Amino acid sequence: MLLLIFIMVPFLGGILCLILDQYDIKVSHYIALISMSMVLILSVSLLFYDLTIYIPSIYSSYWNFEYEIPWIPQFGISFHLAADGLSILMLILTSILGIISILCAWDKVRKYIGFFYLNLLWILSFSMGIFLSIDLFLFFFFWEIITFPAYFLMMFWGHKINNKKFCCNRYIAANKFFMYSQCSGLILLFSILFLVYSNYLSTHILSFNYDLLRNTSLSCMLETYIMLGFFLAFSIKLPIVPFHGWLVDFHTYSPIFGSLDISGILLKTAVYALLRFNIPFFPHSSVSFSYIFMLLGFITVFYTALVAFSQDDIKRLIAYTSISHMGFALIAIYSASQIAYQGVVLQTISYALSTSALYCLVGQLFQRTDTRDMRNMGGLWSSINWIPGFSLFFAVANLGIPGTGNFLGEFMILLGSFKNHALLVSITAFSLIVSALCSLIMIQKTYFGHATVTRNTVIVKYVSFREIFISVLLLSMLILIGFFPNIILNISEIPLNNIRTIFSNFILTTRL
Amino acid sequence: MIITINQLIAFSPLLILLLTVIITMLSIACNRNHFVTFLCSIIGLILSLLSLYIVRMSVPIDVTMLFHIDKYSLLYLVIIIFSSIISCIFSYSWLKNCIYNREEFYLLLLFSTIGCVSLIIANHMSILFIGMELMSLPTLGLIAYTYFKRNSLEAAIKYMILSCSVSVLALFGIALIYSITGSLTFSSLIYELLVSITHPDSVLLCGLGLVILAFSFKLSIFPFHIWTPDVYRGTSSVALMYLSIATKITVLSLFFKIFIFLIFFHIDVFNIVLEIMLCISIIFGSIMALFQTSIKRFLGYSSISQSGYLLTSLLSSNDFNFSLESIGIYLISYLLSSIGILGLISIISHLDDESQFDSIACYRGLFWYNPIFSSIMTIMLFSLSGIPITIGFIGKFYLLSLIIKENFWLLGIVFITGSIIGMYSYLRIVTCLYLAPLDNFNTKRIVVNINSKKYVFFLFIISLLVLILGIYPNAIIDIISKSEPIIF
Repeated sequence: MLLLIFIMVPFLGGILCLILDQYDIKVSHYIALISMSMVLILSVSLLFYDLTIYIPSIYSSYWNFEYEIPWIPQFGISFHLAADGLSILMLILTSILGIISILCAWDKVRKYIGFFYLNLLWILSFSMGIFLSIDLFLFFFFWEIITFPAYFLMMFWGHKINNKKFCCNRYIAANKFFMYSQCSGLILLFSILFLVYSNYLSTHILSFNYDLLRNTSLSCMLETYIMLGFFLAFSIKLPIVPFHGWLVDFHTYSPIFGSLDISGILLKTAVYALLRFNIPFFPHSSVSFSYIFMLLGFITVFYTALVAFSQDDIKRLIAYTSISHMGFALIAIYSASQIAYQGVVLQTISYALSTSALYCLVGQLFQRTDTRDMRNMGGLWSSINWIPGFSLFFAVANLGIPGTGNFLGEFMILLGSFKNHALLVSITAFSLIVSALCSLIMIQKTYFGHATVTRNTVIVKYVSFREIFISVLLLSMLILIGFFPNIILNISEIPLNNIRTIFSNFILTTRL
Repeated sequence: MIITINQLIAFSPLLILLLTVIITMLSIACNRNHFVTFLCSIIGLILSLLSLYIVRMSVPIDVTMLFHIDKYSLLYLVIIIFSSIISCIFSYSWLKNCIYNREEFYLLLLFSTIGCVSLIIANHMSILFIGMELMSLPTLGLIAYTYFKRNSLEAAIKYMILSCSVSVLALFGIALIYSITGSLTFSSLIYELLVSITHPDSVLLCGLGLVILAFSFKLSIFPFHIWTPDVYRGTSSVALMYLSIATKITVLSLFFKIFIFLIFFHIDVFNIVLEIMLCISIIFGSIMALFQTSIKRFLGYSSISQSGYLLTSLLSSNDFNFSLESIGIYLISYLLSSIGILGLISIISHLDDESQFDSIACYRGLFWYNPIFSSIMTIMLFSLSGIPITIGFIGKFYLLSLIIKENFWLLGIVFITGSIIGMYSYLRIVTCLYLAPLDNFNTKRIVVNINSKKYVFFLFIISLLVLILGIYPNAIIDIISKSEPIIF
């Protein structure tokens, strides 16, 4: 029952926002904030429950929390939620980012506030559903419907470029996002059904239960096909290079508070799904494909980092660098090393924090300068009070400076995967130079150099307390993770270890 | 021939409809009154719907040698009569603007419903032919009811010529079957197939093939789809609602009845041909729907791919009950979303200027004028394209699981490709609803035209139903899985 609250509170909060919006506009802000804070408090409090882990076996449950009610019994589908350390971490991350995006949107949203918060809270609620659901059908359900609020968020509050030629691009980008995620969803559905029916053929139990399906015996060929289906579906959302087309456009045109959600949460769902589903379900074929996937990750890292160079729009630049970090995550996931796995979680969380901080800052900058084009900026350092300093910190954090969580995450990924894949990893490490250059170029072009003439708005020096609060909050969290990574590592150790053991057992057997 | 009371009761839905037709005809003859005629036909339809509840007790039953009623046909009867009632209700507000004769519309509708009902419970080739003609000839009247409009007559003539020529082929097929079996009942056909199970007679198969061809024309499967977009465009949306729901579902039920033996007897030729036809019509329908600017033509093309999806469930040979269940779910989702979308179109269209609201561009920015209307439309379009939390998704889920269960690789790939293309074409209209409004004369007129609050409310209920059944489909799955057929 406890787990249901995580989904229901933001869901109902969103509906309340929509209803109460008509009476008083300010109310919906507070409702959204309160409901997300409740979720945050609850998700943190999950950590203080007894986190004893049972020995994983087929018969005993190894989840820390579980909740199940039947949903469509004819197909063996149930509303089955469960959480272990990994999911709890993701829940905390989601709720923190949720609160930040609500704070970001506090006075920027002017039209249809109730409906805006409905969409925002539903994104949060459904992503909580993704992190918690253990029934595959339920997982797919949340995986699919999360696109609707994101789509509407973009349609109604998307970034308008004041140019006749581009007036419809927002819709094209929204459609692109929708179609990409529908493709991903359909492929996922197809592969899930395949898995379920092959399980049905061998055991005669029609079920979508994660724990049951983990023990499905598949032929080598079939396992490869289903694994590729799952991987394809997740990698569209991740996104890795051949499928990254939607993300950058989405970031360009989505509202700033929305892209924070997307980068912070939607992309993380794919990392989570790869860890949670792809590897435990198909350890054997994952092993045989691991090198190819790592290579894909490698290509993603370099390609997007290089493309990021040529961007003029700050948001596009950040979007490309965030794809590049996803490449790192992919490499780590398929390296089958415990240290790299820990690194993925660290990296996922700290990049979510640092990129969302950058998005926030871009948003604040946009409010003052009315442009996101770096060619029109420059010399802003002395014009605004706090924003340039914070931007410098987060940009540097983004390139992985020691003392922040990002550094530790990247370090652990590289260290962990070095043992088995020395060559690949040592080449990948050079991408840090590229991403460092990207960040520095962003800072240099925006805040230093000559003030350009085309700037036509009056720069306001004043920065509100709320804006400083957001940045300070994110900054302190990043530094906290950087100095005490064990807060996260201790929680995620056991679930990650379980996942890794399955995977590396196969590696051992195949290598020997 | 002795007819027992039980048989008479089982036959009552058809009898009530016949009686209704007679009363309606008499009332028109005595005194033309739109409301009274409407009331007569609605009451008749509702009574016949209610009588199904009593019929339920006595099925399965043979009524003479011509009809056979079982639980599964009851499900179809409910769907058909329900859709006729809905069409009647929507046509009332639409016909109110008519200055010509209004009452005959109901008469034609009732006649055609009788045809549908008798087709569903048919157990004899002669009923099959008569029912098919009784079903499609009045629809000609419905299509051409607004003969003063531009495309209406063209649509009617197109439908008539193609439909009649195909009916002739069906008749020829029936004759061929008769020449082999010497009897026209379905059971003799099965008997003949059973006897010659190893080498089925080629003349018999030829006859069956011709009958199936006639059906696939009515369902607008790929090579016989040519009439669909034009007829959809020329027909008024009320008549279209009836045409696309009732007649299609009827023919489908019959198609199912006949085709299922062929699967049972492993006559592979039919299977392969059907599979190819389905694949092409799924892909073709969804690709052509992408390029349409008229919303009715769009619906026409999308209905081609929809019937492609529907017939997928015919191909399974192992788990017969499962495919029946999946077809039932898909039909109900199709019914609800077609009612929704065509009802919406019919609400905004007056009798004589319907063609003005035909283009998709008319609906641009409708959300900003009338949010409820456009959100209903969004839900219906999403349900047609099979996106989660709508009942359409459940139908698609069933079909996909059927495809995987039976290992139809080709069909699976086609299914996914077709749905992705289809999704894009539906999304195009949905996006159009939410675009920033242009200074469009038509959009404002749409808003003015939606004055009938109660119809919008009714459609709102239906769209809620679509959502609720999408989230909690157990209710409908239970109903359908209980109505298992006893095949002959």
